[in-house]
Amino acid sequence: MTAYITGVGYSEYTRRPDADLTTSSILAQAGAEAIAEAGLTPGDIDGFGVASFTLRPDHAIDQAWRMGLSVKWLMDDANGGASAGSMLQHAVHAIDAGTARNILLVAGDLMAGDAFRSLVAEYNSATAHHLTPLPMSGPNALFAMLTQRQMEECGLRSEDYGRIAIAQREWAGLNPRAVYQEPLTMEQYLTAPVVADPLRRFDCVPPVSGGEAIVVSANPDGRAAVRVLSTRSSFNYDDQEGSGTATGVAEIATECWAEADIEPRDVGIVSVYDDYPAMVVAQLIDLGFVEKNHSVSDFISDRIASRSLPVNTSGGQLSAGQAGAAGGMHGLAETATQLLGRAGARQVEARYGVVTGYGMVLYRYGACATTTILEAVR
Amino acid sequence: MNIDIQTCAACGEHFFPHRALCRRCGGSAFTATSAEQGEVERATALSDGSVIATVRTDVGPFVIARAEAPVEPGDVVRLTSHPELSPGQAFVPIRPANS
Repeated sequence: MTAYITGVGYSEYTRRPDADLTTSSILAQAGAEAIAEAGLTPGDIDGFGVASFTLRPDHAIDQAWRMGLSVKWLMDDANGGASAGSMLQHAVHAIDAGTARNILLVAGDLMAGDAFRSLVAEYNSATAHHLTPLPMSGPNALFAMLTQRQMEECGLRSEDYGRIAIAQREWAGLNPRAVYQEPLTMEQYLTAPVVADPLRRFDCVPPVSGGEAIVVSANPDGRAAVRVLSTRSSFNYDDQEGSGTATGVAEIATECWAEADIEPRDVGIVSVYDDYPAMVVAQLIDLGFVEKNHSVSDFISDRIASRSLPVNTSGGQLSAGQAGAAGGMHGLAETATQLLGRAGARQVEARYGVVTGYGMVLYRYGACATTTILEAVR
Repeated sequence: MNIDIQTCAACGEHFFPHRALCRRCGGSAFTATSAEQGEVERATALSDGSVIATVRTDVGPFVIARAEAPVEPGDVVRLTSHPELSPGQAFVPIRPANS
């Protein structure tokens, strides 16, 4: 597998988008920045992939046209929080096959006015028919019940999840792009309004508008780059009949580590999909970061809260914001930025990074998961 | 009262929500089995006071339901497709006809 991330681009996250902002302009801005950062021009781009909930009725071809791109490889990806990993998997295969040499992958959404409410109400037909009429607005109640199961399975308390939210907020204080940067205290976390017992406000992501993009290239051409050592996906791993506390990451992690020929202890930067703190825990366990029979609570205190294991160094979606389908690209962009040495005040020392994607709640929890292992090449 | 759980006509496997093909045998013909009650697996109280529960139906599949009052894991609730609840009931929205 020889493909490299050569550029990362951003469209600023914002809680209150300007009236003239569009989904297309968000994707274009992030895309243009990624192309420039890769040292390329739009004419060099011969592959293009898009993940967005709010681009409709447009698709990847409409967006390619608007961005002046003529390509030989094109894809729309509708896998939400797993979309970036899913697109990367296809892009790497396209580069391996010689189909394309420089692929631009963009993800982003405009969450203005009614966009978030209507997105969660009609997320899919199962949601529209069986959840929204309960009534239920969005997946908080589902992940509250998943969190309860995990608390019982792993012996966790609210304070353990609070340590994750607080640690991510500390990272966010070093990220000028995060929408929430001010420190979060345990008291604030524990006394915030209940959303769905046991979830409180700071367990839930703030919806934002914005996006991210990466360029995946066949050759880094002598520039700093991030090599893709392994990238795999899992879809509908358990038919929604399990507890949800193990994700599809558990199915693919062993293969990914073997393919990358490294172990979790070699990794210096981790981005796990954080729609809720419980999912951070779930995916770190699935990836193998928590030793068997080791206390999960101790792992959270010793590795995450201490920040000795850099997890979600952008602040994650919990502090930086969730920009719709860009939620899946968020951790990939952050990890690539770190491995490119361009993370500013929050820069960590790392040669290897791992990224997960997770998403698309079919009925009870997310059905899509991705795992990507990356290496800095300088 | 009660709710319909999709049942594979060939192998008898049960599904909720409905599927297009049976995961076990690949069959595409289905009948319905009535689920009358279920056991609460988890429940959560929302900020508006409503109670959402994961319920293991007596037919087999899990459903997500709104309980009439706070419930605990292990409690048994009667399942209904009507949103107006009596004590001990839980509402499961079913797929509108012809959709």
